[in-house]
Amino acid sequence: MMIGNWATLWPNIVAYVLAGTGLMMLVCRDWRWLLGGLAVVYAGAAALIALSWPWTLAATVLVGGWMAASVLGLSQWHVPPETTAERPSARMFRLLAGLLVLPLVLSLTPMMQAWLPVDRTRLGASLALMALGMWQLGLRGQRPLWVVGALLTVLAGFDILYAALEQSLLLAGLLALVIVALALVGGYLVVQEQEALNEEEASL
Amino acid sequence: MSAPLIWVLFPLGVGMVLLLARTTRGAARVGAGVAFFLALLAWKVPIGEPVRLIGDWGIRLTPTMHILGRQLVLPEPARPLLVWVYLGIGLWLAGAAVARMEPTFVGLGLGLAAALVAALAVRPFLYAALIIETAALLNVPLLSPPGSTAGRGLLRFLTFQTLGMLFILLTGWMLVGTETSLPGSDLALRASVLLGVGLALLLGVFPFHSWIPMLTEEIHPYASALVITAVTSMVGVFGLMFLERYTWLRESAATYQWLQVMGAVMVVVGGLLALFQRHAGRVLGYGILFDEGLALFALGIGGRDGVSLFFALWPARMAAFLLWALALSGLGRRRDGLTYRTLRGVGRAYPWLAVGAVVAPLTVAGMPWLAGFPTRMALWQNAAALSPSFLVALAVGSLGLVGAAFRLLGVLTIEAETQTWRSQEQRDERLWMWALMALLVVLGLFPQIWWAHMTSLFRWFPHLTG
Repeated sequence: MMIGNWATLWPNIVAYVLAGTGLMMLVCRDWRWLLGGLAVVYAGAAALIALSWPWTLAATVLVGGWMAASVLGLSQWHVPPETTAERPSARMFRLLAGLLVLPLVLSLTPMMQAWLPVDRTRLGASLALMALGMWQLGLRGQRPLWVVGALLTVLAGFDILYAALEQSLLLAGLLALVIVALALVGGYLVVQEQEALNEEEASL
Repeated sequence: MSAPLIWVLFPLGVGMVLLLARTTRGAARVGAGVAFFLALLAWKVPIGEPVRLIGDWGIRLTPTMHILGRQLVLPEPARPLLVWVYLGIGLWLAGAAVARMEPTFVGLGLGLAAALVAALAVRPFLYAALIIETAALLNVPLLSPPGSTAGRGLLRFLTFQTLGMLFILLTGWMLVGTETSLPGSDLALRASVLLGVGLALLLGVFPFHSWIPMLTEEIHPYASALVITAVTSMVGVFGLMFLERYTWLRESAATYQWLQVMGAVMVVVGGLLALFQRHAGRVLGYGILFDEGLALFALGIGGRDGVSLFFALWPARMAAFLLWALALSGLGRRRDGLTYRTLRGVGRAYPWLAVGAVVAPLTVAGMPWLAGFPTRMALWQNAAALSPSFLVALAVGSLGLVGAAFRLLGVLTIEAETQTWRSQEQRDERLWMWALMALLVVLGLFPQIWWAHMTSLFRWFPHLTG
């Protein structure tokens, strides 16, 4: 009985952890939180994907996501920490904007279930991640690290949904490849941005 | 030997090797040579039929290649597409040295062409969305070479390509097994909307078009024009494949009505907004948008005429945007930017570059005697037959682009600090300007040279054009 309950309970816990992590990534300003959040998101996404795929296959998502987070982390190696303080109201605004996603997801999930044969937990987690990623794109779409972080969040949400719909191994592999390639491109753009800033500072 | 091996894997391999090149001129010679050779092969060697080489020895190119449990298929009717793709990329790569591009441009450009051909060849064809996304990601170094900084346009390009891929993948799942019919109109509506949004994101269709002018403003016009025209042209063919495959989509009147309306809107938006820009790179972006609008409108005509006109737009697009990008590269390099303020009077010192920068938008707008005119004429006739409001929309867009060209001419010549005219272009630039303008005139005056070859591509889509 206990085991049966746990089997239905843990996906819900993971879904809420994913939504909370997505929200934290939206609110925070430090890249460490963003990348740590991405690592948690991809671990949770792999766990939910394992409901549809074998663990060994779901692990490709985990490995791809963690590799992506690592690549982005490496690109931050020489980036100095932000010195300007952020207004608390900005953080509060992002928090409230992120919280708006929750009622949206809760209201959309039953309707979407009529279109997509996916259980409520996974659909909800997927929609929440995609919506929070989109928010991030909208609110912080000016710097490569945050844009790529947001796109990776959207892709993690999509992966959860798509794994429940499509069982193709090659597709899973290609999606993992896209995730890593996106992170590599993000790392490249972050390094470029940093070099330009360094040059600007040197010329001053 | 298989056709995908020759037209996909071989150029991809050469492109990777060319990334190691040290000089643009050397890389351009090799890259363009390979591309022209592939175009020549596609022109002369049939796919699926034996070809005699020496004596009794010969080869037969099979259309299919198996890779990772999937197929790459390049059938015989796709040969004209291969000719034009590799002819086009060959010209762009050959001009890379004149535009003073980085050496890696050549390898990445050739790789882009190969990846986009792979996207059209892959079966199941929904994998194309992933390949197009990979091509977009791999081209970031082309758009933002080392030493430059990524602007918002590039980030938006990445965002839209990624989101577009997700929509297409979801549509693909939804449409499995629905080639001939859909069990309910709700599903058809949902699938059509998802597909429409996905393709609109990939193509930069209004209102998702903002990344195109941003990209051409922030990034070297030669690189941005190549990537945008190549990606959007191939995504257009990818969209055609949906129409070819799904009967319910092909036979729905709403599909064509939407294509007509969106095409007309993009022509108006592209043409009119080009007129009000103060940056020559942004005008180029809106010119691309205008041309894309014409392509969508051509598809909206439907049937064999529509598909033929869609492909007939390609030669003018290739030559005109090459001329436009090359001219802007030259002008921008001389004045360190392409804002109208910085370009004032530069045409007096570089008259041939200035002429190129003006003739190209006039070609895209459909000026008589130039390469764009024959297809625009046919499109205007079709628009008039459909509805006078479409004709007005196309005319307004064209007038807007003509206005933008003359405004640029004014900026380049009237507000000069010095009154003397003296051609200071380098010899290779002058030669390229003359050659490309001559090509535009030849394509415009003698459309019979290319029309039949280009429009024969409709055979690749037997259901759509039958």
